[in-house]
Amino acid sequence: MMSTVLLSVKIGLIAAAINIPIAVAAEYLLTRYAFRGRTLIDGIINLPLVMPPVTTGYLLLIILGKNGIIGSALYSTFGIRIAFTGAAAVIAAMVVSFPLIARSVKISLEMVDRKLEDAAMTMGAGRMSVFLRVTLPLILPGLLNGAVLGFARSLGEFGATITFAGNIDGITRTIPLSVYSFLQIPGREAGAAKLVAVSVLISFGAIFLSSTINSKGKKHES
Amino acid sequence: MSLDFRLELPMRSFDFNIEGKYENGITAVFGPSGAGKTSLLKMLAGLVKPGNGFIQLNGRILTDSEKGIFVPPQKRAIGFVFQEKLLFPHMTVKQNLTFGMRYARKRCPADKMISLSEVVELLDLPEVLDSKPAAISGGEQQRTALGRALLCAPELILLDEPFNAVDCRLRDNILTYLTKLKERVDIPMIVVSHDLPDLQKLTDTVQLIRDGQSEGYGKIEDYLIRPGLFPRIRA
Repeated sequence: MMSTVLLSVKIGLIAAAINIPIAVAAEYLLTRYAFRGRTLIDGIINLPLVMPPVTTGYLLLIILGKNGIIGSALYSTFGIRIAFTGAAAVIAAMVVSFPLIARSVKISLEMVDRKLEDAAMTMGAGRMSVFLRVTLPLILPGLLNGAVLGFARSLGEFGATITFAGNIDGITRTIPLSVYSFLQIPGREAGAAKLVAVSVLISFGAIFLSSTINSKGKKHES
Repeated sequence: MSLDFRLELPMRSFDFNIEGKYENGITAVFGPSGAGKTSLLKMLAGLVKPGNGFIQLNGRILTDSEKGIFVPPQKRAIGFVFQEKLLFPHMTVKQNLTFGMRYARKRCPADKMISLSEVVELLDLPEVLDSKPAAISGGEQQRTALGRALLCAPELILLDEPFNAVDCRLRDNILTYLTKLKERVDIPMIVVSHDLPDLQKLTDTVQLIRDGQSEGYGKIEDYLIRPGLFPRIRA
């Protein structure tokens, strides 16, 4: 059971760690620059929020599967297989949790007074300095909040993972997949119950952490 | 200081079209709300690109739309004190004051820069250096914003409506510090306001603006004797 929990946490952390810089870069571009196709990109980012996770997994399989649009090229050129591996579980977790992180970053970026960035520029700071010294510290509570929620969402991911990464013990079998597997075998309900309890505890911890970050963020400015 | 500019920008309610040549000291820009005063400052600072125009500060071309020259705000050496103060809320007063010093040091020798201690003493800020902007008074916030601009070794400081939305006591407070600054620090300033009496306490040189057009530039007294001009400007 412990290995399943650790695997889930590992996948959730890796997914959140990769998603954070991508979400910040994407939302910074979307909120700070006007360009063609902005609405389309915003729609694509948010799509996994409304799509059934199984269809997200199926789309990932079509794109990154061994015979998929990109997956076949990766396999034939480099011999890299993504579907039904640990990497697939991370990608599935990334895709379903990305909108949560991105939305949180977007709201935080929209709340930063653009004139503060203008003020920093008149004091000699270039765009990167303005971002690192002014914008990033101001969006940090929102960013961390989004990362925590994204991590919690990754832990609960089932549909996309089972479709794209499979249910391989020790490699892609995360908490929800393990609970599902236990429930398929008569008499193994106790194992499922233990994992459900751990899952509830982790989710509650994430919500608690998220509220703490929010209140610390508010205190930080006063 | 010599500032030479010609700026054109089509705006929603009028076409902005102003040119000017300012010298040392404090120049007041006076006109009613919505006359284009803040737009003028933003174009000078590089925060707004003019549709067509030219800006030269101390012989350095900052904007020349015909030649495609546009120096970004961070390379203009023009300090901007915003109407809303815009202090960085996550930093202390000291961190706000020193924000631009690292960039200023790259282009200005240390002995030519005003020091932090001098600014803190000049603007009476020693008590609040470790406080966050939200915890200090409006007057202290305004002085921090002014000090922050001074510490960036600017060749010119732009002040946007420093007397707006402040009570009489704070207004006198700001005037006192600006007068002190004028006497102690030799940095040219452009002060924008729609309040003529306050501007008069600071300078006798004024640029009159209305609907994005210049209504005159010169000594305030000369315009005061011209019948009907100020009521028209104020309207």
